[in-house]
Amino acid sequence: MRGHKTVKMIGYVLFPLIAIHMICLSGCAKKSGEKEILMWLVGSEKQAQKITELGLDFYKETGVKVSCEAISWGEAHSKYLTSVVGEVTPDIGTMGLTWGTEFGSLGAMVDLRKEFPAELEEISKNIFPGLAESIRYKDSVFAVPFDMSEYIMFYRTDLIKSPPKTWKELTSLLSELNSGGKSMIIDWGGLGWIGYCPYLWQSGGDFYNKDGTAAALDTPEAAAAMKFFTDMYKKYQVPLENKPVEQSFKVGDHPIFISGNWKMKSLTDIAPELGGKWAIAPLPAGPTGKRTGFIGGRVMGIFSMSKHKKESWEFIKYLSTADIQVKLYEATLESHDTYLPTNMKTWDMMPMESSFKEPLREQAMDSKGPPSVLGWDDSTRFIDTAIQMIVLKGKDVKSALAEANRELNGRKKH
Amino acid sequence: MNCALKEFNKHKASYMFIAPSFLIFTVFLIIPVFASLYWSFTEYNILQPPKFVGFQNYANILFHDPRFWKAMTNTVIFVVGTVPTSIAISLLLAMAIDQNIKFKNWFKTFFFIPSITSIIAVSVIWKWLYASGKYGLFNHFLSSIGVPPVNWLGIDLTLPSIIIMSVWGGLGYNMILFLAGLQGIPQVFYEAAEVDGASDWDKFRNVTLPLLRPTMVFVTIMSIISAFQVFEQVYIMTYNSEGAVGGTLDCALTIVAYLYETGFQRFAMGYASALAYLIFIVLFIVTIINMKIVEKKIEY
Repeated sequence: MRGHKTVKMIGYVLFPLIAIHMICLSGCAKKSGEKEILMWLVGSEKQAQKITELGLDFYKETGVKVSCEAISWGEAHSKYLTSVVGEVTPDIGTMGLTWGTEFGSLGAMVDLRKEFPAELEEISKNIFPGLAESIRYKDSVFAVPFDMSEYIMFYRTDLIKSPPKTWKELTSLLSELNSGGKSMIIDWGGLGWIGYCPYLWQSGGDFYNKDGTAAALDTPEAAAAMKFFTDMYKKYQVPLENKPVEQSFKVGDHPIFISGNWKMKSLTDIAPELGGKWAIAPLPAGPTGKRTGFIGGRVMGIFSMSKHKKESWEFIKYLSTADIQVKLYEATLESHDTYLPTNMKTWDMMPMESSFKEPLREQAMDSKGPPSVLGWDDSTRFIDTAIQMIVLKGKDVKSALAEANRELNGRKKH
Repeated sequence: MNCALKEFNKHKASYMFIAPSFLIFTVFLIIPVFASLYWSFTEYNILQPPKFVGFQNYANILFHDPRFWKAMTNTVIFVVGTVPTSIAISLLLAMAIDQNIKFKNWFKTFFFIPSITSIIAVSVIWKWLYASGKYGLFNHFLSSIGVPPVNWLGIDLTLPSIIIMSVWGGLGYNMILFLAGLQGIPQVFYEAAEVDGASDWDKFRNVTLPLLRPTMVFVTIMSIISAFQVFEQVYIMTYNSEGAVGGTLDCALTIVAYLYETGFQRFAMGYASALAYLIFIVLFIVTIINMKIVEKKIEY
């Protein structure tokens, strides 16, 4: 009964939409011979508008029209998938970091390394090394970074003298905080694989072996990292449940937390009175001396069905230049988006206080993205389960990791 | 044949009115239902053509998938936790409002508001109310009366917390149905009972309840079906920064949330279709049992 109603509702909404669309199609037909590329942006309407605006300059230079449409994160993956099946893909798509490889390996995206090797090399040279690594799948690259989000440590300068620079300093700081009833929050990826991976990398381990042929969670490095990570919950009172980070940072219960760079924006918005009392720093270094963090973000690629591959690639190149990235960055200062440019040259030009810019840049130089291995997205929850079993059910590190390792191997696709 | 054509011509206009609705119904409901039945016997990731695997999906779900059983158990707990409580409280509210009290319509509106509010919005707000430590409103109240803060969305309490919220959210709708049912009971029965010297409890047990039976059947069946399909609350309350749904160690993973994850995050459409059909079979059986239990004819 309810279903029938829903169907009816869809009908009422759909018919006028189709009608409008038809009128538009016939009315707004473009001049013959003029090329137009369509780009989908996973993100906000405002940012899509800004890109369409930047596309006007591109049009003046090249005669190719660009229109950019926003799609929301929640539906993006299925929308891309259905567009591929229905053969109605946009020319350019921005998407989650791992999706390029996923769609590309199924033949839905242009292999940029094959089509435009020299120019791709030129772009790759300028992007942060960890990002450049995570877009490579075997010998192919199906998408280049559009923006990035990175792991970073936040701390209250009035409550913590200096940010911890090593694991040891971190644990002694935590003990000190614990004795006063305080602690730290792991906000981005807490109790999950994202929270775990910095420690894994900092101790010299990784999720898979070097050539990506087998899982590598059964190594002593992985176990040491897991022990350190889970001990923060078990020994050092890092909260297991979600806490409103900004509030507890403000009242000082958690004067230090690890999260994504977007929290810089939300701290300024939610706790403006804290201005000047907090700072950011790269993660504490592990046994290898590395401070490796996690880096995520959006990538952009060209769909195989596009009729304007060359023009699309020109626009992707355009969006990857430092001049344009600065403009995009400036635009996001006004809207509520967080956008960090991926081109290292952009970082010299963009307006940001150096007390923020330098730690972010330093961390970005030593960051890695999710492994570019097919089957990874299906495997992550087993790492989450291992972490949660260790912390909540007292399972021992070795057997939990061995189990996760088996699942990772079982889900790897070739 | 000729006759059928004649018949059609006679009602041409009617058929034409039905046609658009029927077309949409077919495209968006009937075809998907059968397509999904076929897919449930295949391995299908949307991009590549479905590969027929027989009963493999069903066998895997039933015999090799602990997450399915975890989700099923959670769902049954949710149904048992919400349906009887919600029915009892909403019947009580309906009876209270059915009395000759002041501000009757005001109360009706008041209790119905959660039903017209988007469950997504409700869940987001309740997530704040439930916030842990001293940050949530509930814990704030508790601490003001000296009770230590409760970890509402921790591993043990997530499901009960979602149950509490869902009972609250579903009250108004059931209350209005019961109210309609109560108002359909002729006053003469109560008067006759009073003449016989019946107490309030007797009147409730022997007049109200039996005469409310059709409403009760309807409310029970619909509540069970919708409780079985609980999703939005679970999604909002438990999704994490990695996009996983169901909470820590699947503590609040319900069957539709699991279906969503399988079908729309992992794109295992064949497996998800098989899950959907298993849910359908369970609901079908539950509904039949329900109807059998309350089948007794009521004639007054």
